[in-house]
Parts: sequence; structure tokens; C-alpha cells
Amino acid sequence: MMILASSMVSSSNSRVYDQTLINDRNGYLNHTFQIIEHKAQFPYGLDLNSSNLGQGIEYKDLIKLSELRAISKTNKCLGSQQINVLPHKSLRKPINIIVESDEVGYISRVIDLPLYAIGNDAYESIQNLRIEIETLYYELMEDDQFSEEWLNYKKYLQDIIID
Amino acid sequence: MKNSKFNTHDVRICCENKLNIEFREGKEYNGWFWLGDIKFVRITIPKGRKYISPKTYRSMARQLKLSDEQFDSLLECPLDKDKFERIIRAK
Repeated sequence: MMILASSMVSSSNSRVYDQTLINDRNGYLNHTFQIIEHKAQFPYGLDLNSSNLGQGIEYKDLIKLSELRAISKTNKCLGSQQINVLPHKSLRKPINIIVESDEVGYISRVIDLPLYAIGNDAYESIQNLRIEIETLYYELMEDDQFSEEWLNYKKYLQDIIID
Repeated sequence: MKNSKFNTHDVRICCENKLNIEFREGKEYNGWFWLGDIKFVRITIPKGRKYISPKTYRSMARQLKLSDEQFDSLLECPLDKDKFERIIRAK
């Protein structure tokens, strides 16, 4: 195990942010790593393109920083990820998403909801998807004039979002 | 898939005019298609007049419960609101 900035792990300002699975171009799981976010440095999550990559982050299973940078700068699919927090709300359990490269950027989709967001890079698409999830939640909370399918999505979000 | 024929502005105008979807302006445009007095499907359209990549095009089609070909037809005109309602009622 390679640990970077291990002091961050026990700090009160740090928290586990994402359990991320990286797939290679063929869809095979290559690495599993865990990101420990330092709030002051990464208020909205990990910036894969940041020159600060590595500060306040713990990687497990021997993924190297250079590999992560290389993956983020190529068109490789980042595969399945989990959103653990929304812009203004917390979650009881993570929301599973898929992040893929597209012709002109990246697209992130929620597995359990008909929601997607795009971005110039994987990070931006995930950030936009967080906003989309929260926007949908607010819309669903306005009334109950929805189809049964959307009422089920509403219940799902009510169950996992902490108001 | 005819994603290269249309940009995001085209899709929004089509949804507004043909499906009477009213969009809210947030980070992106989000709008609901009403079937009777209930909100039945919701579509997200990126802002601006952006090129629509294939996966984005497919995601928008799926949000409307349409296949790629049906979404092509919606944007190209043959698929009108009545046909669209028949498709989503069948699902």
C-alpha cells in the first residue's frame, strides 16, 4: 500500500470522499483507490487535473499518481463511481454513477435515475451531475403530480438525501 | 443517429414547440413533459448551441423514452406530439 499524506487521514478536516473504480478502455477493473479529501484543499471533490493532485489524498492498491494523471488526461473511461455528497445536502448512502468519455468531453449518468450531465473533463461532468441530482430533488419535492415511475424516484431520493 | 444534424438549441426549441415543454434555466435546461395533469418525462438539455455528442444525444432520447430513431424523427418533424404521447403511453 502506498500512502501519501497519511496525516490527513486522522485529521478532523479530512474525510473519505469517493470510492472510485477505474476501468481501462476495455472495461476491466484495474485499480481501486480511496480518496481522502481535505476539505480546505478540495471543497468540491477531487480535481483530476489539479497540479495539487496528491495533497491530502490517500490511494490504496498501489495506484500511482502518474497513472491517475495519465488516465484523467486520456480518453479512457473512468467507469463506475459513487457520489457521496451533493452541493448542499448529504446522503445516507452513495449514489452510483457511470462516467464515460464522449466525443467532445465526458458524460456522467446516474445508474438508478434518468439523469446525466456533461463536462469538459470527468471532474466537471461529475460536479454537474451532483447539481442535477439536487435540482431534480427540489423539483420532485414541489408537488406529487408525477407518474408512478417518478414518484418512485422521489421516494428513492427522499430515502437517501438528508434534508 | 442524427446527432450531428442538430445542436442543443435545436433540441430545446423542438421540445418547446412540439411537446409544449417549459424549461427552467439552471445549470442546464430542465423541462417536464405533461401527460394530462401529471409530469411524465423530464429532459435535460445543455445550455447554448453546443454540438451534441452521441452519448448525450442518446441520453436525451432515453429521458424522453424514445429510441435513437424516434428521437431523430421528433427532431426532423415526422414525429408529432400525438405520436409521441402514443409512444410513451405504451411504455
